[in-house]
Amino acid sequence: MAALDVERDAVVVRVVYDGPPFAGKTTSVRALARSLDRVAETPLEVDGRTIYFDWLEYTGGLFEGHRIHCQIVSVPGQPELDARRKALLNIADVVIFVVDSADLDALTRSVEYLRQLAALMGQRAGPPVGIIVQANKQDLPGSRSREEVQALLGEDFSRIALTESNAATGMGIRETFVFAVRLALDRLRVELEHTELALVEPKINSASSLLLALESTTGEPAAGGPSGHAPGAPPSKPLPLAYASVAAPPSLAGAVRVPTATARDRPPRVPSIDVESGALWPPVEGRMLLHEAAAAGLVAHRIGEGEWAAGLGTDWRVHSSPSDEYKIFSEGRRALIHWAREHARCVSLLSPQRCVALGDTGLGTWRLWQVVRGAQPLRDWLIESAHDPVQVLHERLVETCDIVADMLRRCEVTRLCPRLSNIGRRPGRSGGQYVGLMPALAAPPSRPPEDIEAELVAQLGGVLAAELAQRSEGLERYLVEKRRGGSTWDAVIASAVAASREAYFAHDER
Amino acid sequence: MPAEKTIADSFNKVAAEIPGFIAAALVDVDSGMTLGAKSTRADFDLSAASAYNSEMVKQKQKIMKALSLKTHLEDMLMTLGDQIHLIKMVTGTTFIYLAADRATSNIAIVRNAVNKHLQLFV
Repeated sequence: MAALDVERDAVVVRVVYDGPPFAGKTTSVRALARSLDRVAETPLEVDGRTIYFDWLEYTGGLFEGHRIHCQIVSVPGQPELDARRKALLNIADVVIFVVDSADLDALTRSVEYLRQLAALMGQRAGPPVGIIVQANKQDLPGSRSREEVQALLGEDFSRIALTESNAATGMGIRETFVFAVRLALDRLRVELEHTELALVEPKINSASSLLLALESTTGEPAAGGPSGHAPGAPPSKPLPLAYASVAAPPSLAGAVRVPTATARDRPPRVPSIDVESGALWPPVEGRMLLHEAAAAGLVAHRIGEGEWAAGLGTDWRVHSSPSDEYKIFSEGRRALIHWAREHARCVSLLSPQRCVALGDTGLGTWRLWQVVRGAQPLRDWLIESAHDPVQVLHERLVETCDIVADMLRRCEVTRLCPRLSNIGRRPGRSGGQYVGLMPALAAPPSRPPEDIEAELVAQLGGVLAAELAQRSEGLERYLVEKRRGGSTWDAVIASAVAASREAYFAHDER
Repeated sequence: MPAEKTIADSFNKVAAEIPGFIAAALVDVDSGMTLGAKSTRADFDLSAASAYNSEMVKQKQKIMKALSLKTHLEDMLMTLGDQIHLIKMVTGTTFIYLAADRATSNIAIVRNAVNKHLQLFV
């Protein structure tokens, strides 16, 4: 039944990521979390495998005057955890089915999983639950296109919605998510024709309450859950992000290695103003920046194996990669000097308020951290204009084209890959700046696109097909009306609008 | 570029020849980072000094370019009330920054010691 979370004044929509093992479900949820500037929680992970689920929350947009609160969950892929998978699918409002489009065997096996999913969803009461197939790993050699995946899925799924993605880089993840929310809201709309929104406090409102609900459904003891807790009731204390010492459920005893509380699981200390001399770039402004960032009360959260972030929900982006941990200070210093040189080389392109610090983790190691003061990326700047008059949105699109085209040219010999999500406007001046985190030193230098206009069409098309989908018709009309004396970018904007509308209707037809 | 430990050892040799040696660092011009350093005073913030001095080197190079001078920057000498500061270019991208006590040392001694061991920093 459609529920309205009274406390949040929001309709609750549950998006579940399903799919066979190693398809990229967790990576998709984490990539989505990054794009939403949030952290996904994983109650238990063993050797990189999700044992219960991944959990992410996001509130955005409006539905019938209420905010939309999305609970994003991924299922465990292992066949022995099928009971958990089914329990999670049974609470889905929409399912994103992730497949590995680069592995033909895996793709063939996916069909059976998809059949199971379709059968399970067929048993659900009420309007049909939407399923989107997300053809992942599009970056890998031999990956199949959307059309090829569709053909491999066979006649039974010839009308299923399909998107392409590369969860490792985040390509296509946010667009698929927005599309899924739209499908879930369509279902909700149909549901509301027969019933009214129930004013309730959702039983599942956090990762820990989902864990307990899962326990009551599957009859398994929940990891780390307080004993004697009423099933479905919210726990008295939220579970930590990294579950250091938990009991394996009986079905897994002996089959998996349960991690013990190790340094690996404990959050490292985030660098503060007291970092050692010589362990910070830039040495002077960096220390002032760390002083300001520390006021935000930064705490590290694990966002992947060996990968940590802090400052989520604040003005700060603080990040440390798995390869940024050093046992010896001098090794970390050497890496810091490389980072400093790389930053100095790109200094005219980067947003100014950032530093790199080598901090003592408090766990006997050292970690390099990028600390960046948040600045609005162009994508959010465009979305902010979703309810403005069409000429305002058009002006923003024109300026966006100017900035992206300029940045694509200027970033040519660097590792920076300009995207709407990592470029922003330069305050007080014309032109753009790179507001994202610096790519890893091991990342290859970015190759400038051969056709900048085509790149712009692709990037703008993405946001126009997702968050600005409702504006494309108005924009199209506006561009036709002002054909004479328009901007030099109008042809690009028109192509992006056309591409986005094509994608929108292609999905609708399915 | 020599390792950090090697740089520190090389500065020990320089320091041994300069009475009143305070601190020295090999600095990366572009980033302002110290690549290796030695200091006899805990309160002398070499990291900050190196970063500011790298800005000075960059500004001087800009001035030379603005004046269309077809030459290169060799060193910069600064005389403070009680200290001598020397900036000696090592390569196009690195320089030595050295501070010494003016009461017990002089410009000639500092220059001579640095030039003598310059190859150790290349």
